Amino acid sequence: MTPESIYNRFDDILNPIIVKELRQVVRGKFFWGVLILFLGFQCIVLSLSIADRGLTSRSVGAEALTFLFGILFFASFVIVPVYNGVKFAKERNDGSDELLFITTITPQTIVKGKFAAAMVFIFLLYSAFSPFMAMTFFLSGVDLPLTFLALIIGLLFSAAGAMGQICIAALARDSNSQQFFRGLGIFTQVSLFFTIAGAGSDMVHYGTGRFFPVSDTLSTLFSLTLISGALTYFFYRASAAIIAPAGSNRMYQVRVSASVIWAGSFLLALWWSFKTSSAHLFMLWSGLVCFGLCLAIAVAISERDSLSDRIAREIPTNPIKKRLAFFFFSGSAGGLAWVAGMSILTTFAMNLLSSSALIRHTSDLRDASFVIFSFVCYFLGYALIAGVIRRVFFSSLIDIRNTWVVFLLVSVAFCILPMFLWSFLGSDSDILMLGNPFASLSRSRYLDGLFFGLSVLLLGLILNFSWLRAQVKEFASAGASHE
Amino acid sequence: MILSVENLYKNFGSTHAVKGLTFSLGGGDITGFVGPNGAGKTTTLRILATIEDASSGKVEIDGLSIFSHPEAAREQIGFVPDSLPVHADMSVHEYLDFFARAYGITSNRRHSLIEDLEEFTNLVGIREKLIANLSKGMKQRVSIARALINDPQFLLMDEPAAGLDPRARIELRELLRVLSRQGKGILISSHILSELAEICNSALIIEQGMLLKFGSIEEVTSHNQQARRLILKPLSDIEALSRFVLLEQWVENLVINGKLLECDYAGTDDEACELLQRIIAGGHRLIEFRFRQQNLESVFMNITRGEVQ
Repeated sequence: MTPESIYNRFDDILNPIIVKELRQVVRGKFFWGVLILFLGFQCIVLSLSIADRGLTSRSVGAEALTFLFGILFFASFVIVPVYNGVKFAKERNDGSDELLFITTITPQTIVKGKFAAAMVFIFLLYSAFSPFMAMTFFLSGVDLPLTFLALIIGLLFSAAGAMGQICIAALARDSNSQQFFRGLGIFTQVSLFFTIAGAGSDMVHYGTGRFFPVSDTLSTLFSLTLISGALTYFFYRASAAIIAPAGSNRMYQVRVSASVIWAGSFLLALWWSFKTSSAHLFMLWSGLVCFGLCLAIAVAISERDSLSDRIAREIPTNPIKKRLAFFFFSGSAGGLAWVAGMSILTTFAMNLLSSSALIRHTSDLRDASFVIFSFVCYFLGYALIAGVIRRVFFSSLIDIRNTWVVFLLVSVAFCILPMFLWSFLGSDSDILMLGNPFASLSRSRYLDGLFFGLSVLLLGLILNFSWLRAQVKEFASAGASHE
Repeated sequence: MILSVENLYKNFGSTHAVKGLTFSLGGGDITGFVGPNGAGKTTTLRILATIEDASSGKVEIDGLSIFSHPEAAREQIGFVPDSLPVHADMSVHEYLDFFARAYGITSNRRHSLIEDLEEFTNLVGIREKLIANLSKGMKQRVSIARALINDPQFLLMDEPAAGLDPRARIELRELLRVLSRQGKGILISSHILSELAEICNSALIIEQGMLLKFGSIEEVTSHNQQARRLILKPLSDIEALSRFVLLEQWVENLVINGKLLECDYAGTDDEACELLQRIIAGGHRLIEFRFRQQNLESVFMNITRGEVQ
C-alpha cells in the first residue's frame, strides 16, 4: 500500500460535510476572528490577574482559572454552537440541504458532519487555550485535577450544546421560523451558559465538595458523561428526524433512542437514589421525563395521520413486531400511544420504588407519580381536542404539521380562561383552576387533577375515536399488503 | 429509460398545486415545461426530484416507484433548481468535489470526473473562484455540473435560463443539445418560450396544476387549430389573386398585407395542394405559398388564462 492509496482511502471515508465545513471555516473570517479575539482575552485576563494580585496571592491561580475557563466555555459553549446553528439554519432556508437529499447522503450523515465540524472547532479552541490554563497551575490556589474535571465537563456540555443548536437550527423551515429559532437558540444557549458557568465558578472557588462528596467525584463525572452523551445522542437523532424527508419513517429512531435514554436515565437515577438514600434525584428524573413526554405529545399530534409508501414498506409482518412497531414508527396515533405507554411505565416505576425501604422521601415519590400521570393525561387530552379542532375547523388553513400550535392554544385556553372567568364571576371556588395541570401539583387536590386529566383524555379519545381507529386499521393492513 | 408520471396530485392544505398530471419523459427527449407563474411547475419538478412528497399518484422510472424507492430514483435524477444556493467561502471546484463526495464517488474517480465536468460545462477558467462571486450564468453552469455528477438519466431544470444574458443562453442551449444527444431526458421549465421551441422536441403546458397540452412541439402547435393562416406572395397583380382566392372554398378573413396575401384556410393539406394547382392553372404567378406556423408562445397565450391557484 502506497502512502497515496492510504490517504485516498482515508479521504474516501471522511464525511463530506466535515470536509466542506472545515474548508469553509478555514476560508472564512469567523474562525480566525474568534481564535484571535479569545486568545487576546486570555492574555489580558492572565496579565491583569498577575498584575493586580501578584504572584504570591493565595487565590490568584483560582481566580485566573475561573476567568480563563469562563472565556473558553463561552467560546466553546455559546459562540461555536450558535454560529454552527445559525449557519445550518441559513443553509436550510436557502435550500442547500435539499440538494444534498437528492444525493445518496443521509440526514444522519449531514447532522454528524455538522457536529463533527463544530467539535473540531471546539477542540482547536481548547488546544489554543490550554497553555494559558496550564500556566495557572504555576500560580497558587489551583487544584490540577479540578482543572481537568472542569475542562472535561466543559467539553461534554459544549458537545451537547453544539448538537442542541443543530437541532434547533434544523427546525427553521423558512425565513420567519429561521429568525424565531435563531433567537430561541441564542437565548437557550446563553441562559444555559450562565447557569453552568455559575456552577463551574463556585466549584473552582469552593471546591467540588459543595456540590457532591469528594469520594463521588468519579461517579459524578461518569453520570455527567452519560447525561451529556445521552443529550447529544438524542439531539442527533431528533435533528436527523427533523431534516429527513416527510415521507420517511423519521420518528422511529427518535422514539427508540428516547426509550433507551428513558431506561438508562431511570437506572442512573435509581443508582443515585440508593447511593444517597434519597428519592430527590429520582423525582428530578421524573420531572424531566414528564417535560419530555409533554414535548413528545406536541410532536406526535403534529405527525402525519396516514402512512407513506416508505413507512408502509418498512412495517414488519411478524404480528408481535408489527404491534410494537406501531408505537415507534412515524404516525400521529402511534406517537400518542408511545407517550401513553411511557407515562404508564414511568408511573409504575415510581410507585414500585416508593415501596423501597432503602430510600427516604418515598411518599413524595408516590404523590409525584400521580402528578406526572395527571400531567400527561391533561396534555394528551388537550392534544386530542386540538387535533379535532384543526381537522374540523381549520383543515384548509392549518397543515397537520402545525397542529402543535393549536395544541398550545388549547392548553393555554384551558389553563387561563377559567382563571379569567373566576375573577369575572368573583367566585372563590378554585374548581375553575382544574383546567390548569399545575393545579394538580397541590398535594390536597392531586386526585381532583388526576380525575380531571383522565376526563379530558377520555373526551379527547371519544372525539378522536374514528380518526385513531382509521390509523390503527391502516397500520394493521399495511404491512401485509406491501409485502 | 422512461420517467412516467401518472395522475399526480399535490395539495398544500386547501391549495391544489398539482391536479392529476400525467405525462412521460424518455431518454434523449427535451421537454419544455410551460405554465404561468404559480401553475405548479416547481412543485412538480420538486416531486420528481424526490424533494417533495406527492399527495397521490405515481411517478416511476422504468417501473420503479420514486416514492417507495427514492434512493434508487435519485441515482437516475439530476435536479437544477431555479437558483444556486449560497455557499459562502467555497470555490467552484470545492463545491463540485463536495457533491461528488456526497454521491459516494471515490477519490480515484472523483478527480477525473470533476475535471471532465468542469471542461464540459466550461468551468475550467473559474474553478478556483468563490461561488458567491460568480455571475448568474456561471452559477447556472456550476448547478448543471453538479446535477451531472452522478451521470443521471434524467435532468430536471427549473427556470435555468432566467436571468441569463444572450451568450449564456446560447451556451446553455448548446449544452442541453449535447446532453440530449448523450441520451439524457431533460424536463426544462422556462418562461422564454421562443427558446424552448428551439431546443425542445416536446412540450407540456400546465395551468392551475392541470395538464392542458402534452405532445411533440408539432402536435402542440398544430392541435386544435380550426383554421391555419395561409400566406401567398404573387409576383404581380395581388388584387386579381385576392379576387380569385376569395372565391375558393375554406378561405376566410382575407387581407392584403403589403405584397403578401393572408387568409385563414380551414381545408386539409390535400385541399391546399389542389388550391395551389388551381391558382397556377388560373395564370397567377406565385413565389410563396405557405402556412404560418403557430409558435409555442401563441399556443400558450391561447390556451392559458394566466390564473394561479
